Amino acid sequence: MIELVKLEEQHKEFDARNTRIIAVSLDGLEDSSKTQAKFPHLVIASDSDQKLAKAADVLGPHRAPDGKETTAPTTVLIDNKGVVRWVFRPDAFITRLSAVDLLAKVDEYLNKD
Amino acid sequence: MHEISRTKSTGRGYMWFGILVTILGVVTYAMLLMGAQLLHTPWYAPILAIIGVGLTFIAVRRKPGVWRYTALLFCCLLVVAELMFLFSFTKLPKYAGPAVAGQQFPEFTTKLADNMAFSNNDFVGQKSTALIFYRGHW
Repeated sequence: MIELVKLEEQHKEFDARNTRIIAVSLDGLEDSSKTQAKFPHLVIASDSDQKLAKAADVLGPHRAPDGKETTAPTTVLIDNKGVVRWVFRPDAFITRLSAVDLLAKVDEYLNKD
Repeated sequence: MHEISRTKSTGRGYMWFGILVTILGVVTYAMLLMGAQLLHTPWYAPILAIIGVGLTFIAVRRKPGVWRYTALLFCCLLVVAELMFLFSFTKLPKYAGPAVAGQQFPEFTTKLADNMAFSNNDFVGQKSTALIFYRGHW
């Protein structure tokens, strides 16, 4: 969840690019609503039934602290017609795309015109 | 004629510097994670630890002793642990879809934190979306 801090800090930059951040985890509604309160400028999704994670195929044995499967950190840029423009999956689950790098990718793939 | 007495260093400095360099990688990673909240791959940690092994090895060669062998063993174990962490434990499989550039995002229906329905149809509208899968509240 640490990556959400920097994304929240940069929310004006994302707004300026007409892009919203939707952050998805397998957390239940209670935990997700707590996360939403911490990051009011992001949209938090509660995918506890794993429907979105399965649709995007980002589930796997990625060593959740409780030993269960969880989502692999993955970023997908989608344009306003619902078309995928770019997908990022780091080599290691300890690595994340920084907010600044994500802004650069938004400029590159979503705001080309 | 003056007699010049030359005493060879026992290498204690190598041992302490070796331990320090070995630990430096872990400390740097922890500081960047907690201070700058930067999630990154600490490729520098095993490099520093290998340098630490070299330095403690020199210390052992200069003057073998239990503490120096212990320091060398500690540095070696840290190198192995860091290499395993980076190249095995944290490795993620490559992503091969079904979210593919140039194609519609796959169909789904799930919920937002406020219990409202959220589906792939919600991607169509005024704004573009950066969809980020994160590992939850922990």
